Amino acid sequence: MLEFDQLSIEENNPITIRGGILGFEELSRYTIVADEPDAPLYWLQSLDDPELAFIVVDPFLIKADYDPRFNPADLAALEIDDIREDAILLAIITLKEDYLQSTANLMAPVVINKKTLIAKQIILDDRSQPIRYNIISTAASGV
Amino acid sequence: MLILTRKLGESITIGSEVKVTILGIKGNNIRLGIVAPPELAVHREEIYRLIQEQNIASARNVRNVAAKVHSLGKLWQNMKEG
Repeated sequence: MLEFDQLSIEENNPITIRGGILGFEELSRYTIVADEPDAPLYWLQSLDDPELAFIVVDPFLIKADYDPRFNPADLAALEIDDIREDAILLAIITLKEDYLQSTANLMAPVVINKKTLIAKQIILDDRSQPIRYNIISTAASGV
Repeated sequence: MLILTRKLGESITIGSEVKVTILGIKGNNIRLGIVAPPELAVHREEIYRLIQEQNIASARNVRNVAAKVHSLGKLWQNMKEG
């Protein structure tokens, strides 16, 4: 589970995604809402456009060996020293018509500084992580 | 489009804060060194477009899929537990 109890997100204290979500660059203020208590999925909801939301998941939860290699400059810009300690990562899910085929974007996670609530969608340098990672087949195989 | 010819090791500047240097040329490949302020995102174009397109696909019709999200979350949890 994501440790959202550690975040205090309010209307007047939103998550600020610098540069926005790519494709939606002009919108930067977001909040996170749990889909259900204890559910693995969350809504990353735009505070500027009520119609814009993304389904997100903790990438470490769906891929146990997820090992994102960030450019140190990207992390420094967010004042993050240690990904596990200082940050929360969100992988954006693409829901498919057949929801069993839904995928998560592990190549460009949204990285949030827990303390400042400043975030950025960071494209990983090494491109070793898939942009469309099938979350159901991997859960079924016990990974 | 502005077109400039540069030699190996030479640079161009864009504004006062962006500098692009030709670091190496090998066949069809050119290595560029880019200095830019951290708030300016620099990406390979095809990767940037790929991520944009994936995000747009993710955001599409997201309001109409609440039931699907619940199902996916539940199924995923059951699989993990089972």
